[in-house]
Amino acid sequence: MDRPLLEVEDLSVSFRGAHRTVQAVRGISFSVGREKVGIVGESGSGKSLTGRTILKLTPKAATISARKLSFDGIDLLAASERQMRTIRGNRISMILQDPKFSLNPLMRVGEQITEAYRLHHKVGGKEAEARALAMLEAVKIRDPARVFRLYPHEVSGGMGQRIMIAMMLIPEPDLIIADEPTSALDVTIRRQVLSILDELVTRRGAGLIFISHDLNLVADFCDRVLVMYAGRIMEDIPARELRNARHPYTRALLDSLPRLDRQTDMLQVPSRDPAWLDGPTLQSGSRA
Amino acid sequence: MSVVDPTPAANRPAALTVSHLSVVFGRGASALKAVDDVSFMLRHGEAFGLIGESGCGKSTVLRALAGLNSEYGGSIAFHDREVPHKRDKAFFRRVQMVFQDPYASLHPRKMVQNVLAEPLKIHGFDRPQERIDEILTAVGLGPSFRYRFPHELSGGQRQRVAIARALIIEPELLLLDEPTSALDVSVQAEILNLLKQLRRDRDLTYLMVSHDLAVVTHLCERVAMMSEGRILEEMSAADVRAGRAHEPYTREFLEASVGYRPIA
Repeated sequence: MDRPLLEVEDLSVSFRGAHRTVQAVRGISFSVGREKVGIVGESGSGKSLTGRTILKLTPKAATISARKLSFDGIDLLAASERQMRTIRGNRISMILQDPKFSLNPLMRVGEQITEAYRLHHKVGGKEAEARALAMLEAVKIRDPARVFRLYPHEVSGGMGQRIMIAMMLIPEPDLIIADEPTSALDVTIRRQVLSILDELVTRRGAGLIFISHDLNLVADFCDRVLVMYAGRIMEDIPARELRNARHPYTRALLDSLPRLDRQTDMLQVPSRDPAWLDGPTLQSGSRA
Repeated sequence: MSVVDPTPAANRPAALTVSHLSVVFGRGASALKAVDDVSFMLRHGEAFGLIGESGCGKSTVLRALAGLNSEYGGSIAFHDREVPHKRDKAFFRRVQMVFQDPYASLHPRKMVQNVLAEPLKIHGFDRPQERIDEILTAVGLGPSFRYRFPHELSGGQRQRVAIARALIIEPELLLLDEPTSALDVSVQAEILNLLKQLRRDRDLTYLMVSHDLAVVTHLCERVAMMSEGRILEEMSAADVRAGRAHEPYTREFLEASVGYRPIA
């Protein structure tokens, strides 16, 4: 494998409060190549914040520190806000959980996608429009010309999320961060949206960071999984081996899920070991 | 599986019978039939699940049953006696509901003990203080939680309080509207275990609505698949596990519920 797209070493994010400082992400290290990497964890584990930190979209109160935070040779930590603007959307883009809140309600769908393209490519309106229509077709929207002229409130949740994907992929980014992109969707729609995302990411050879709380989904969809707890990465494991994870926290999470394939009377409730808070990341499975 | 009453489920009396239930929103050309001719029956001590995607009408069925929407067609019978469209106190004494979002369903300025004292007062129960301690212990919180406000509780603890509020007047039927979908998986496991335990200890009947197949089949013996306001088919939990579905839509739903398989 060639050099990874994203290299993160000893990343910490903290929020300074009046009385105490909260360490939300505590010294995590990982790298992402042109692959699908899942980050799973419970709420408050720092998984979303990690995704936002890569784009430097953290709240003002957050302090970021890292030994290394580099994307394709660019030091993100030292990058100015102006530099970050050329990276966001263009080289790294982000898909958020709910299209209802992430699309501009006052702009037609087509204009939003065209805008995303024209911000990073010097092309005329006609060409951008053609690209946007092609992109809508790529995310399997029937009758793209009609959808192009709709407002976000006129589309369903599943279609909204496909529009988001179209918008985020049209500048052809190298790395896509998807934060719970399908949690607001029904299971049958989820499958369609994931198929589209999978196909586009694989075809373009982009990297994907897929943030989710759904272990089963991540195990099937991703190539590699990082399991986070309390701001640390507990385990770094190939997705196909997730169900045989060795870290007690990962095991506990898996055992706490009700399963369709076998009947259990009472579910396991995870107990937590304080030693995990400062323990090392368990590197599991065969490395590529 | 051990059940308190050794009578086989099939021979137990019907607790709830829903026949030809329909709910229409709006009128004239813009009328929307949210629930369309839904019938099912729940025996005493049984746990029954309604599954389906958003907008299929499952929560609307539950709201009509709970008396939160009295504009419905068809009939709802509780122990073979039809209940009035506008429910009386006696109905709520025996049927209680637990809502999806524990962050929204508790009054933010009421202490836990006041939350629990209210239903006791409404239904004229004696020994309120003892009952509050008792139910708090039964849901795994303990009497020390009496003096907490909702903001001092985690999501799982709040849902335990919501369950305690429903159970404190000793109802026999609990309506559960996605009781764990707002919770983390580890907390979900706690609440599901609690619901299972309480059902055994108190011989409760559950009607649960959820979009999560694994959760429903974990708790319920029978499920009904809903789509576009109708019940497509009824299955046993074992059928669901084995993927034995007749309707194509149900099959698609079952398939999509087990992780991710790319569409060929």
